[in-house]
Amino acid sequence: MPRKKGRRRKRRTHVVDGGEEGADGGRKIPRSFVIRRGELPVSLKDLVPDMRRMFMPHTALHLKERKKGKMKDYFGVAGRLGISHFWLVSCTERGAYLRVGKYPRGPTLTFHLEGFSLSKDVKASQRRPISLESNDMKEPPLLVLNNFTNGPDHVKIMATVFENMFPKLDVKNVALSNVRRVILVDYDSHTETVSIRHFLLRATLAGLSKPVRSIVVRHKIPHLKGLKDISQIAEEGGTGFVSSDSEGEGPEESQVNLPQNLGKTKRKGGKTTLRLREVGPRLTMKLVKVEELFCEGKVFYHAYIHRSADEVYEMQRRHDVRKEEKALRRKVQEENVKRKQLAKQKRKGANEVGDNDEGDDDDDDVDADDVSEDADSDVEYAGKRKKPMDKGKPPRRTRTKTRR
Amino acid sequence: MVEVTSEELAEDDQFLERLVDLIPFNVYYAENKVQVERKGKAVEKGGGKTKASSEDVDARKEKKKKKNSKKKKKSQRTGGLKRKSEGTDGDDEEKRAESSELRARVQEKIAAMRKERKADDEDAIKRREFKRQRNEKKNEKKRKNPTADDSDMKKTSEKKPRLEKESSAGTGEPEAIQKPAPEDISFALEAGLETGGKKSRVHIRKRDRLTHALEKAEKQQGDKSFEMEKMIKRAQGEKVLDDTKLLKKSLKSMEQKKLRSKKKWDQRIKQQKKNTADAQKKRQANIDARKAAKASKSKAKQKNRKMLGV
Repeated sequence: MPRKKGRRRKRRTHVVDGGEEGADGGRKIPRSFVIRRGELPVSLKDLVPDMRRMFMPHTALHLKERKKGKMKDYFGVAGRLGISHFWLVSCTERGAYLRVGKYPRGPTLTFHLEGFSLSKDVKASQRRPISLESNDMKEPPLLVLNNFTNGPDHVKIMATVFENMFPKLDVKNVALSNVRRVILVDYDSHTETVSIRHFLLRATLAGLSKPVRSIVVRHKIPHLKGLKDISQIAEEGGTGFVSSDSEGEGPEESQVNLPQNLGKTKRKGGKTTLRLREVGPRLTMKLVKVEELFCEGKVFYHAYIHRSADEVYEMQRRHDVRKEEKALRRKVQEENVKRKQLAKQKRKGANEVGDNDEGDDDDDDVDADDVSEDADSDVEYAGKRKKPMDKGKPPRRTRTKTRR
Repeated sequence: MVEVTSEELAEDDQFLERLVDLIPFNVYYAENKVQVERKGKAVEKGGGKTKASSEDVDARKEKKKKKNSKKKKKSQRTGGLKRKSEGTDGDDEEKRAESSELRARVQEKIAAMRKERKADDEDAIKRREFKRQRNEKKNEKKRKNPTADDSDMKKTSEKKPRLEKESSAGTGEPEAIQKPAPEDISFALEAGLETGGKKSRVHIRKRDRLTHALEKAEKQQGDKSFEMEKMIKRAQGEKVLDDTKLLKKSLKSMEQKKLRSKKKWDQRIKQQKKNTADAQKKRQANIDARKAAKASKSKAKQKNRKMLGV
């Protein structure tokens, strides 16, 4: 809490988060939750924090998941917090699955995680590992999709879901120093696998010799012991300027003239080498299923199960029939409820006047009618099934004798 | 008199011939006269004699004839018989006749097709005019705002993307990774300026929006044809209102909210009135009490006075 002279001062007054829906549907910042579902092996458990780091800053880095946590708990807060995407990590005997769903009624992509690497393993395999800093997680990553254009429908849907998971960068107004990370999503159309890689984007000055670079970039004070003149520092080991085929500079394509200033040393127009340093998890996964709604709804695409038009029609028909029956049953129940209420009122009115006997009989009749209607129908009823009451006996609640 | 040598003549001849070769054949053999605008004057060219020296035209014709005859094979030098298969070879007259015939047939076909699609209808003409104007305006706009197009980088990657380089530097994967083609790479970038500013956006009330959506949804309830579009829109974050149940629920909750707030307001008014009424009552009571006190006081005073004999 920012305090000035003991008083708390407001700083973020009227900060609009892309606003409510406008004519174009609004440009809200997409936010995500990465959640574990069910029991996971340790490696998968550790994958989740890595994934959260990938999606920072618009995700919950330290999301408290309870053992008994249910999805509806998350749905309860999702509206308030503006959560738009859910990544659900789960595991079965067959393998690990990742469900990416646009909340609340968006499509859900179900992926089979064919392989993954934790960020700690990636770092362990590198010669010069690099870690995420807090600055890196303050800005959203740049998303690069490869090979998603000109694909079949399910690939297009995948592309759209991934694209809209991250806020779009405004090319004109973006500050280069804010583009610190890159997420690469690659689609291999032969094996139909999606690979996700996470990199840090770093720009280093190009065209410097090693000794010069160590002074300028790494601020190392050089040893002047055996040198007679200061210019000998730059001359060390030959020419001070780097030839075009020097190592460590990277290929020509990664050298760029900066359009903006990027810190004290890297100025606009200066030549820099852009490097992608891998950090963070690697995911290799295959799309299994695309569902219309969020973890429910019609299956738009399935990688393994293909249904013929007849089967689809049959399934749809069954679904519709069931829906109709439900609606009908609800209607009937509502009518019954109304009827009962009316009868109750009448009975109350009659009671006030002075009739005690008739009330019970009426009650009996009403219940019996209800039951007969339900019992006759063939439909399976997973609701509150009333037990049939015997007609002759008086109902339990009106017990005249009191126990002592 | 200027003396002209034969070599010079030959040169001029060649030059003229080359000039003639530049002119396309149909210009001076066209049946339909081709209007050629030249320096404000419409000069008819083709068919018969032109205003320019007819001698030249004849000379050109002859030269062309010579050339063509040279091209003819021996076997094809028939007297006047025309062979269909060798339509390209043959006399100029025949050529002209053939081409005109073909042209006539083409025109006929075009006329027939136009008639079929009613291209010369009033409506069609209007539509075409409208379209043309619209395209013109579009092009004008494009010319005026080149920046709006530049920032639309969503699908085009004509600028070579700097991040095209694979991550081989960091991962140690084999260098034999194929470099992806620029068309395959897409970035999640803002697609240019939004059309229309703040004021051009009409504010539609939520209730109206929902009722319209409900009507539409009820009509399209069994319609399964737009699933793909709906999914893509939803994936992009736009709301697609197609579930009648949810729409009804929303509308109902809006109404309930109104009812509740009305209730609260009525209560508030009631309470306020009560408060003021109570205050007034109290005030009145106080006033009356004071009056009464005053009256009794004065009475007592009078009594006292009487008693004291004042």
